Amino acid sequence: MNKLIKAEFYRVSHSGIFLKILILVGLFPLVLPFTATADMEEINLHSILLIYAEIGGLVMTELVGIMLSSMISNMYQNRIYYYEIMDGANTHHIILSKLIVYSCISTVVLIIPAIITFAIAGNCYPIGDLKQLWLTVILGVVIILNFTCFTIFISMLIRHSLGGPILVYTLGMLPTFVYMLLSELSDKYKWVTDILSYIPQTQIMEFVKPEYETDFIVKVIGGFVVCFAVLYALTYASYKKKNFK
Amino acid sequence: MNVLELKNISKKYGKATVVDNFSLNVEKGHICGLIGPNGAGKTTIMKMIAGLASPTSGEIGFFGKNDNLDLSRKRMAFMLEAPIIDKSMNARQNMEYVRYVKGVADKKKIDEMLNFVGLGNVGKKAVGKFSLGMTQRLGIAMALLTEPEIMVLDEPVNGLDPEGIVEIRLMLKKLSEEKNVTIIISSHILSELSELCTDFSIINHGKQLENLSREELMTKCRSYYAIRTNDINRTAAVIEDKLGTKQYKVIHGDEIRLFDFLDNVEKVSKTITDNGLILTKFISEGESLEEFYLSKVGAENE
Repeated sequence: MNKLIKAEFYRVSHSGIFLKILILVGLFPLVLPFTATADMEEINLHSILLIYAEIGGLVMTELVGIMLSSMISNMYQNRIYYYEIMDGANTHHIILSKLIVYSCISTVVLIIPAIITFAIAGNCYPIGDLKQLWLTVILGVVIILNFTCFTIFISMLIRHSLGGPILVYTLGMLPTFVYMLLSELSDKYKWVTDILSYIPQTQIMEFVKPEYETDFIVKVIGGFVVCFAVLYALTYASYKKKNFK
Repeated sequence: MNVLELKNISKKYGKATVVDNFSLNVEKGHICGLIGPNGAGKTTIMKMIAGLASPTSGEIGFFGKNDNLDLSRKRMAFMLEAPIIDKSMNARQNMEYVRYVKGVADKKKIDEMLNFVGLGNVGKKAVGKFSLGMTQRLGIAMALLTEPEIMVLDEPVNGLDPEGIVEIRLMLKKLSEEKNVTIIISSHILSELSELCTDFSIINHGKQLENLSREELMTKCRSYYAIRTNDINRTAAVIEDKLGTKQYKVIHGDEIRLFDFLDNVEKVSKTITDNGLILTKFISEGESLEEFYLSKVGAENE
């Protein structure tokens, strides 16, 4: 699997404009501490995290998701993935290598810059409850990894240069809007919002809280486990069916 | 020793049978040409060899083994349908990507192979700007990177100019002769295949029409005497009456192709001249691979 990971890293790092855009996206959190100072009554690290989650988190994750999806779809578009199959690579290794590579990219682009920014901001503003801060970071990482895995699986299932990114965008934004809309309406649709609260797209808007209920933590981790298991099984079955038909 | 064995392989997609009971044995160092019209099943056969499709029935074996085919495939290289390249990368980067996937340790191989196919000076040029011929050559360089023992090439000279076709042919011949690489190749340019291949497999509608070696092809490509005289009708009558054979054809009303008495040139020429006819042409000719193929496929289609 090592050589598949190396090959995919090489492809991504030499695939034209993708990496440059991703780096720009990664730099976005650096502006957050400055936006935070504008008109907030009480500025602390928590409030900056809140801005990141509400404003930057979803947009950035969506943008990165689309970029990652384009990179994966490109592999199917020009049949580069044939090399892995013709070399006799194990299907699990193929899927896992993509998960590892793109999760690393996601971590580098979304998580590390955010943590660095918050660390810088932490020097300027009160940190608040440190335990709470750690929990926020861990939940943020899980949610972003969940969304990254979701993006990878969807792209590997669709295998279309446009269809993959469009579906990733639609499946990313649509539940978010439905969730926001129904949350405002009435308790009548609570069951819908309850279901939607298991998916990373809605969790990303809400993961910064002053205090966490066990229910939310269970939804984040449970949602990740279920989403990963179901989509992994589907991707594996699809790979076997499409490649060896 | 057979390095590739296909035993009665069939491939069905739904109700359609794309390959039907196809068998092929290829010996080490041989060049086997897969010949057939579009949709005959050549690419499907190659895909099954590459592991990109699995046979519905039948057996595939490499290097004398029919188990753990994926391991054997690491000793093989494939160029199917068209060279598989990422157009957002340059030639060298594409080679580097394949080097990583295949786990080739020696980085120098990239330059070596690019030089071998004549792309040494354009390694950093974007592949998107390559001509068709350059793309085909890059595909071959990528296939050669692992120093394969077997190469499976689907239409490698497709779209090349005559000069490019000859270059690729010489390159493949060199590989076979110098490195003892076994090659399975398909092409529509039969004259090229007849120059290159040591074995031929003719396929149509997924069915095998004939497997034959170059020697067998030479024998089977029926030879004939092309005869022209001052009176073609009387010559035909002489052939029938005096030689007692009907194995001849009158072509365009001015030439006779005699398929009999091929080992007795004296008897034929003497019989014709003894009957007062003047020979203006008398040469031994034979069918080309193209004519042989067309006669086979044509008969099958009828």
